[in-house]
Amino acid sequence: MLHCSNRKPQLSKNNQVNIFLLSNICLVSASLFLIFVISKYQSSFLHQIWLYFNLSVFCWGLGALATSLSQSFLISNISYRIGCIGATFIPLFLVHFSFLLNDQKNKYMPLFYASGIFVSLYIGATELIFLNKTCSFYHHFVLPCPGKYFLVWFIHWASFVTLAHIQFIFFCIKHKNQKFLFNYLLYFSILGFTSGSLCFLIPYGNKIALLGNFGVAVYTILLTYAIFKHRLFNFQIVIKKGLFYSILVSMLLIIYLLCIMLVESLFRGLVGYKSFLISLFSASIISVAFNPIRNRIQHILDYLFLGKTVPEIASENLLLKEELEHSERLKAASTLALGLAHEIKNPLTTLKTFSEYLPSKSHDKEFIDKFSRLIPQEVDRINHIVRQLLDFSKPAPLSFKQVSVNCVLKDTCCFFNNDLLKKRIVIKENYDQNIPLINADESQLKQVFINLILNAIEAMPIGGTLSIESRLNETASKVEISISDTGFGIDEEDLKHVFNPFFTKKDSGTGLGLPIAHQIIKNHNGLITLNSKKNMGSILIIQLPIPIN
Amino acid sequence: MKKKPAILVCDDEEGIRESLKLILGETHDLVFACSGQECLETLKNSNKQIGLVLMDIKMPKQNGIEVTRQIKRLYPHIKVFIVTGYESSEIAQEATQAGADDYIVKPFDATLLKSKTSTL
Repeated sequence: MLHCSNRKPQLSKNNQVNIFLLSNICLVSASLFLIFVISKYQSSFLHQIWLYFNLSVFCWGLGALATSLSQSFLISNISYRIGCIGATFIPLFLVHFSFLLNDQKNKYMPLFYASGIFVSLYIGATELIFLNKTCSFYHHFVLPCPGKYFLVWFIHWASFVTLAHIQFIFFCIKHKNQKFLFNYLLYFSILGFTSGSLCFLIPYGNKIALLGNFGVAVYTILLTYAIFKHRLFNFQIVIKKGLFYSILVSMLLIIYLLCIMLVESLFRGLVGYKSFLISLFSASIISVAFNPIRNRIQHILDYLFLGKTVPEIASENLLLKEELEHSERLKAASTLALGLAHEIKNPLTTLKTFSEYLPSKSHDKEFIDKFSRLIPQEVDRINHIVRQLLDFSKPAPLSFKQVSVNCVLKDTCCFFNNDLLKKRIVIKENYDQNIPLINADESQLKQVFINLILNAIEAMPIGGTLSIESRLNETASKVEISISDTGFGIDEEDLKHVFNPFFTKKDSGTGLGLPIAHQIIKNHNGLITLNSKKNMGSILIIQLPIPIN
Repeated sequence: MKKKPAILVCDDEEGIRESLKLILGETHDLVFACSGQECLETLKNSNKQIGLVLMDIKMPKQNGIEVTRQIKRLYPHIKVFIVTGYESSEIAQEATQAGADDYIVKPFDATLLKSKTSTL
C-alpha cells in the first residue's frame, strides 16, 4: 500500500522481499555492462547516441536503486527525481538514435532536447510533477508522490518512445533480410519499453509496477547479446571465446545469487527469523538446492551460445594452445632449416669435388689420403646437421644431459648468418670459457635461443647490433646468458605482458615465442628476465643453475 | 707453360680449400688463408703476385663482404670472387656493392670455376 502523508514516513523493518531493490540491482548491473561494451567499442556518432541512451537508462536505474535502499525521505526524494530526469532523456536519445539509424536528420531534435531539459527542470525544482509529500511503499521504501502534471510527463515520455519505434519499423522494413533486427529493434524493444512504462505506476502504489525494471534489465541483456552475436548497430567487437563465456557465466551467477536472495527473503518472511547467521545458513541450503538448476541452465547456455560444454571448450582450448606451440616450434624449425641448409652446402661442395676427381686421381696417393680423411668427415657432418633438424622438429620429452651453453649458443648463431647479413645486423659474441657443463635439454635450450635471437632480429628491421654473451656467476652458482639488441624496444606498459601467451604487437606472430622460452627455462630451474627501453633496444638475461659438483 | 697470377683462397673450411686446390691447383699458384685477417696479412706480405681472391662469406670474426671492401680499398687491381653457400639476392647485392667482381654459389661447378678464373 502507498501511504502518503506530510509527516515523516513510518518504515518498519518488514521481512517481505523488496522486489523493487532486486529489479534495480539487475537493471543497474545490466546497463553498466552494456555501457562498458559500447564505450569500449564505439566507433561512430550513432554509437555515441546509443551510449547516451544507455547512460540515461543507467541514471534511472541508479536513482531507483538509491530510492529503494534509502529509508530517508530527503535522499529518496532527491534520488528518485534524479532517476526520473534520466528516464526523461531515455526516449529523447532513443528518437535521435532511430533517426540516425535511418540516415535521417531530424531538424526538430534540438527542440526535443529542449523539451527534455524543460521537463527535467520541472521534475527537479518544482512540485508540478512530484510533490514534496512522503509516500512509503509497503513500508519498504519512500518516494515522492505524483504531482498535477505527472501524467503529462508520462505522455511526453510515451510520445517519444512511440516516435522512435515508428522509425524502427521503417528501418526493419528497409532491412527485411536481417530478421534478427525485427526481434531486437521491435519486439524486444516494445517489450522492454512496456516494462519500463510500468514504472510510472509505482508512485500510484501498483505492486506489479515494481517488476518493470526486471523487464528493462532483460531487454538490456538481450541487446548486449545481440551486439556480440549479430554485431547489432555494426559494433565491431573482437572478443575471445573464453572471455565471452566468462561474461555469460558471470551474468548467470548474478541471477543465481539474486534468486538465492529472493528465496531466502521469502523464507525469512514465512518463518520469521531475524538472525544474520540463520539467514546465512538458509541461503547456503538454498544455494545447494538451486545448484543443479544453475548447472543445467549453464549446460543449455553452453550449447546454445557456444555449441559446446565447459570440458569440451577447455579441451579445445588446450588443443589450440598445443597447436600454436607446435606451430611456433615449426617456425623455429624452419629458421633452423634455413640455417642448416646453408651449413650443408660446404660439406656437399667437398663431396661433389672429390667425387668428380676420383676417376682421374685414383692413382694419386696424396689424393686418396685426403679423400679418405675428408669424405667420411663431411658425411658425418651432414648427418649431424640433419639429425639436429630432426631432433628439433619432433616434440620429445625433456632429456637432460651435460651440455655446453657456449657450444649451443655458437651453433644457434650459425643459423642466423643469412638473416644477419640481409638485415645488416652486426653480431658480437663474447663467451666465457670458464663456464662448466650444465644439465639441460640441448634441443629445448636451442629453441629458447632461436626464439630470442629471432625476436632480436625482428626488432632491428633496418640493422643494428646483436650481442650475445655468456658469463659465469660464481657467487650465485649460475650461468648467465644475455641476448641484447639495439632495436625498437618495448613500451614500459607492455613489458609486464611479454611473457603472457598470445601477447604480441607484431602483425604476424603467435605471441608464444617468449612464453615458450619462459616455460623451458623454468623447466630448467632457471630464470629469464627482460629489460627494454623504447627505441633503445632490449636485453634478455637467462640464468641457469650450475650443477653442484 | 707460364703460370697465371696466384689466387688467394680465403675460406675457414679445409674441405673447401682442398676442393679448390683440386680444381685450380694445376693451372694456378694457390695461396691459402683461413680468415679475413689472415687474408689481408697474406696480401700485404706475400711475395707472389696475387691477381684474384676467392672469398668465403661466413668466417670467424670478420665476414667476407667486409674483407672484400677492405681489399678493394687497399688493392683495387685485385679481383675478388665471392664463393659462398648463400643464394640470397640481397647478399649478392651486398657483395656487389662491396666491390666483388663475381658471385659463385656452392657447391660450385668445377668447369665454370675454371672458365671464370681462366681470364686472369
